[in-house]
Amino acid sequence: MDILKIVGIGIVAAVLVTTLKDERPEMAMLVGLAAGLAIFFMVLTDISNIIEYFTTFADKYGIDMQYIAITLKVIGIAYIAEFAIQACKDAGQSGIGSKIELGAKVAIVSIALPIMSGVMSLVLKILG
Amino acid sequence: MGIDLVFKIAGIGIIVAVLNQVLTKAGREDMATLTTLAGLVIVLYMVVDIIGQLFESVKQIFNLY
Repeated sequence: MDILKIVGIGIVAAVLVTTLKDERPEMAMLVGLAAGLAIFFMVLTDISNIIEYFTTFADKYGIDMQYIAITLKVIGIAYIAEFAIQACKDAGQSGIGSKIELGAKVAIVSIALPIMSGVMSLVLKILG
Repeated sequence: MGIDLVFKIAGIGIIVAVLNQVLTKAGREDMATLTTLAGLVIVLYMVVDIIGQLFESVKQIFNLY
């Protein structure tokens, strides 16, 4: 993962977006989106290595895989939603962005429900 | 995948902007809007394809579904 390359892409894309902004705003937004995608695909391999490390770490110390899986899902949903929300904000449509945010929150809560019920039963067992 | 993607899309955008100016100055407004539309469709096609790859890789990494 080369931070210099990422910074370079970001700055070049920002300059190209400003040149295109007044003439063709829709193209400018697409250039911004493409820059985000390019940077993501550069970081992709490192993300999978980190996740690989966490799963082996969890297996070694006997942490229940279910919680790790749910955490990873929540992270994935949060990342994709953040990507879309920023794209909408760039295009000036923060209203649509907030709707996507609402959908992401609902999805995350619905995925995290088993964990909540597990914690609740644990707490009741301790108190009860 | 990387900087060349950004350059490709920015290049198409600039060419479409210049073509638009040239065509409007030449009095062919209808052709200008058509070329703008064509450029937009090409760029959209490329970006949507890359976004599809993004969704696939995120689904595969975070095993979302």
